Amino acid sequence: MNGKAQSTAYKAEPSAQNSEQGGAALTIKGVGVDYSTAEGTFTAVERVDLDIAAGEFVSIIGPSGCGKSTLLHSIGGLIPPTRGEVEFRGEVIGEPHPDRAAFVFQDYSLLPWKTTLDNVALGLQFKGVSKGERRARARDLLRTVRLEAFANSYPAELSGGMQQRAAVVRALAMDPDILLLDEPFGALDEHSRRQLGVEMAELLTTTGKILILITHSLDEAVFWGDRVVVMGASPGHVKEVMEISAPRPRAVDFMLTDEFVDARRHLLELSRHDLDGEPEPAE
Amino acid sequence: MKRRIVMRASSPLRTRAALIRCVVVVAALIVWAGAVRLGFVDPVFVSSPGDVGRALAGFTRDAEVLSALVVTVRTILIAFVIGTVAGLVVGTVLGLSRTLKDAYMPPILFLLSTPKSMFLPLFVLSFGITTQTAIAFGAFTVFFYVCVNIVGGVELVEAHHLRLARAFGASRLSTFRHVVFPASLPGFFAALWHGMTHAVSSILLAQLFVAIGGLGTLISVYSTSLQTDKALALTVVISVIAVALAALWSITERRLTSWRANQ
Repeated sequence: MNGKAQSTAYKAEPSAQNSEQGGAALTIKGVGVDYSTAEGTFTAVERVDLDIAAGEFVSIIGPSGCGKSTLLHSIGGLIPPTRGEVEFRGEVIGEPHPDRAAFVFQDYSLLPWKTTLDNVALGLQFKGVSKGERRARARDLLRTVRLEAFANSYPAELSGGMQQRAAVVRALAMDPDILLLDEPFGALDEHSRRQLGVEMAELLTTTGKILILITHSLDEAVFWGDRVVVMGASPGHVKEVMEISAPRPRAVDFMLTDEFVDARRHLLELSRHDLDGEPEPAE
Repeated sequence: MKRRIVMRASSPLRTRAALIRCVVVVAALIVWAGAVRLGFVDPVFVSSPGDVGRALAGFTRDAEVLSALVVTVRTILIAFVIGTVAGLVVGTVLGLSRTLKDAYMPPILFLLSTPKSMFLPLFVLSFGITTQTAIAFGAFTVFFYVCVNIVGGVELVEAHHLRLARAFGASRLSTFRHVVFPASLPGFFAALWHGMTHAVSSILLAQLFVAIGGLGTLISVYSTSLQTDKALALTVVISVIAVALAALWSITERRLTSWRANQ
């Protein structure tokens, strides 16, 4: 742990990196989410404070039921926080606003009755962009993920990895300031997952957007993140925020460095001692 | 669902299936003709394939049959349209409102599973021996099938698709147009399909049991006067109409829901 992968305690002073980049662009201020169920009120997220700088990549990990997806949905305006608020450049995020924060969901959520091209153009269509323009933009984006040949195919004809690439560029089509990735590779097999991860790393980490990734994979969390937020369950809270200082974009070789291995080991120990929820599997 | 799979089967398989089908039909006709010729059955009651064929050919010049055909088709269409529009409206409203669905679905499902023919005498009491009886009875029957299938169709809308629409800034209208409506299309087609088949059967039933004219009444008249060949020929005509409607339907449905081809 010494030196390379530093652990900062929860609610620590803004990190050195943040102050270098001129403060937070996205501020999560005391956000908590309660659900009312038949048995009463259930607290999914107790209280989360987090400052995220422009262009920063934050990974969030934690056991099932620690409220990480709920937190992400709150950041994107899909679930209004019960307490606290989410601010982007001083403006409170209320309703979903895909120009500001766009989602990539675990289950892809491509509409089966629309072609891949029209799925990618969906947000632009909702926004009222003309058919010719939105299709041209969608076509360009499909090219960046090598799906141009499948523009007129329906999602059912695409593999899981291809569908998720389409879902990623559907979010990018909005040119959002923040990209919210909700376990985007969670439904894929190990091989596709690794392949897509490397490809997406190139595509996403050069955009200069804020990226927030929810993942179950410690490897993914460390490989991608400038910071890794570790959450605990019952109710959901931030246990630790860990900085990964290696510059991005990172090559696959980064996985062999001491920093990666140390960080990963630390996260593994943390999750092993996580008595709040079920221990995370190593992979 | 089975119907779809058969229609999508590869073409050699389809040809073979069609051949097997024809063999059974031809065999049945031969047995029927043979049984009549050998005196096993009385042609007065079962007629013969030849007589039925001749009766069919005779229909093309038979003003009575042609006008009955027009009456029946027109009555079916009117009942279908009234019942379907009512079922569409009520089904959509119930499908979109949790409370209304909980309130009204149980009685609708109850009436759906009750044999509708029970209610025919009540319609006769209200509307008399008129075509309105058939129309009202038909629309009543169609309504339940359409309504239940529309509710089922709206239920097919998946929560994660609605979430997607919200996340990408869809208006209510866009959400309905791009998510709710396409997702309920299979239920919509099932509704039209069940509506049409029940319009046909309920109108024929009304015409069979109430002497109000049309093909149903004509079948009843022919069979009670032992014109078995004509009665059977009429059932052939009705079957052909039903099969033609079915074919038209599945072609339209496949065209409009082509995205389901690989699901």
